[in-house]
Amino acid sequence: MNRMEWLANLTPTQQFVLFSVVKIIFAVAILMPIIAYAVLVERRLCAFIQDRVGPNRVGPFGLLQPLADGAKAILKEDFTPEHVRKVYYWLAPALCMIPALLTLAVIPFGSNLGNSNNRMVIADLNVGILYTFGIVSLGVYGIVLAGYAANSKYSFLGGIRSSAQMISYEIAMGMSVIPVFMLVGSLNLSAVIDYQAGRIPDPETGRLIQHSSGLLSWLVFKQPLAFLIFLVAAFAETNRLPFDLPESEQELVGGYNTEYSSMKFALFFMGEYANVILSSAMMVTLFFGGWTLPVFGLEQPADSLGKGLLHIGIFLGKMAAFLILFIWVRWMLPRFRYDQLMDLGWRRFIPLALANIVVTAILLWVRA
Amino acid sequence: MRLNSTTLRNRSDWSGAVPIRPEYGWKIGWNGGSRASGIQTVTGTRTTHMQASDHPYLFLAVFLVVAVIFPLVPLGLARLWARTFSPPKPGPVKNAIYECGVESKGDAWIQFKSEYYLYGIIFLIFDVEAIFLFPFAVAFTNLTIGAFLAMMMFLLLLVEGLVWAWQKGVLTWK
Repeated sequence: MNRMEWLANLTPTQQFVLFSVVKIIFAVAILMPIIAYAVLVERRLCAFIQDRVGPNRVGPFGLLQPLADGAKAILKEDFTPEHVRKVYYWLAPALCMIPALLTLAVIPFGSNLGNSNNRMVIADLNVGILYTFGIVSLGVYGIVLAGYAANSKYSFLGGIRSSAQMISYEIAMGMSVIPVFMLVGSLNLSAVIDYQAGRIPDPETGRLIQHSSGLLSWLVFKQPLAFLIFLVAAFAETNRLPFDLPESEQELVGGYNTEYSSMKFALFFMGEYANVILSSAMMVTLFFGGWTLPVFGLEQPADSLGKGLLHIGIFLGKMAAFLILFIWVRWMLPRFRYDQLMDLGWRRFIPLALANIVVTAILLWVRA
Repeated sequence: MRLNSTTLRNRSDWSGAVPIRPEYGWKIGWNGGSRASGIQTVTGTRTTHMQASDHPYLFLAVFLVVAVIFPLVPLGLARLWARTFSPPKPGPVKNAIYECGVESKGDAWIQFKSEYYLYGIIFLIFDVEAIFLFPFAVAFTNLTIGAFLAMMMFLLLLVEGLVWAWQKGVLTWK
């Protein structure tokens, strides 16, 4: 209890600073190895899919490969070509990384650590999803800036392709989740998880009431169409195959990052993986029950440290499953043609998402 | 911090017998309710702990600073290393624009297809629409029949816009 007294003697402001710093360090310290090892998993997995071995030399089973990659990125010549716009050229990789990190702030990656004060979300915004979409749409600036600043035709084409693609699928993505929030009745992401665990607020008092819940109360089973659209839009938003037109190697070399090398290229790379990880986290939160599991009472907030850690583990496990799906799809499907891609976004998904909203609205209205 | 302890007291009142209607709309959230039920269990320690949820935007500000610093550190490190140990050795070929070995001709900052521009405009309309749909979705359970019909009307107008653009062939990539 000695520790607690020490904590209690701090002023609230000091406590706030302490808690925020600890939580942020914790979240970033978890995210970084995940990004590093996602790259390794991708390389190993694609090797297995193509009947190769993959990187297995650095450390046991190649487990130290991310360290070697990082060292290489720092040690390479930090080369800035003469024909670029220098300020934007330097700014673009950072701008690619920042939004990816910022999205992390509102995602509840666990319940708590045995005490309902330390909730495992960095900023529990009541408009969580609006914040997410706001930040996600900032992600396009880094790519456009990279394409413009590099003063190369490949980069330029990659940049405008990417921006057109991202804004197209952003609409489908935003609209696909609206039926979800009709059901949940709050824009807070913790509320979405509560809903999927059967904790639904009483319309009169606003207090949470535990309803019976199970696997079927996950929103993926209540809104399968919304999930499908969200999933495909997530692939398009993160520029992953089959939507990786902006960096299609055969036509555009590397797209917007053609003229980049060393650490700046590594930042683009990490930014892409951070985006993939965070869209996986969003899908887990919105459609797959977040940190909950409908067995052994794991849908309740933790009452002990061990259970709290288990919740974080469940969240990371579900996220890893999506990560592997992202990687698997990349090495299985061919690339879309650009007109097909725009067609799918605008003429298939947006009408479908709109129809889903209307049908859900009418169904809910009739039932109420 | 007085503010904090009073907010906490108010919240513990929430979990008491006073029935409070949930506030939907922009002050969204029965979130207060969930917090309140959390408070019940920790009444003994409530003065010693800051509620993280009292300052979500402050957290966000701190996090923004971290997120900005985060990519700048490796960039700076790489620059430092380059300065000290591997000074740049530029040359005309190394500095040239990369175009798969062929010499680059003309400017890269060219005019691009106007289709991109049209998509940009349509995007603007639909993105604003999506923002309007979020509060609608949250307030949905408490809507009157009039508000519901008005919202359906709003949706219909936008669908009409989409149909118009579709028929005009704007959505067909050429």
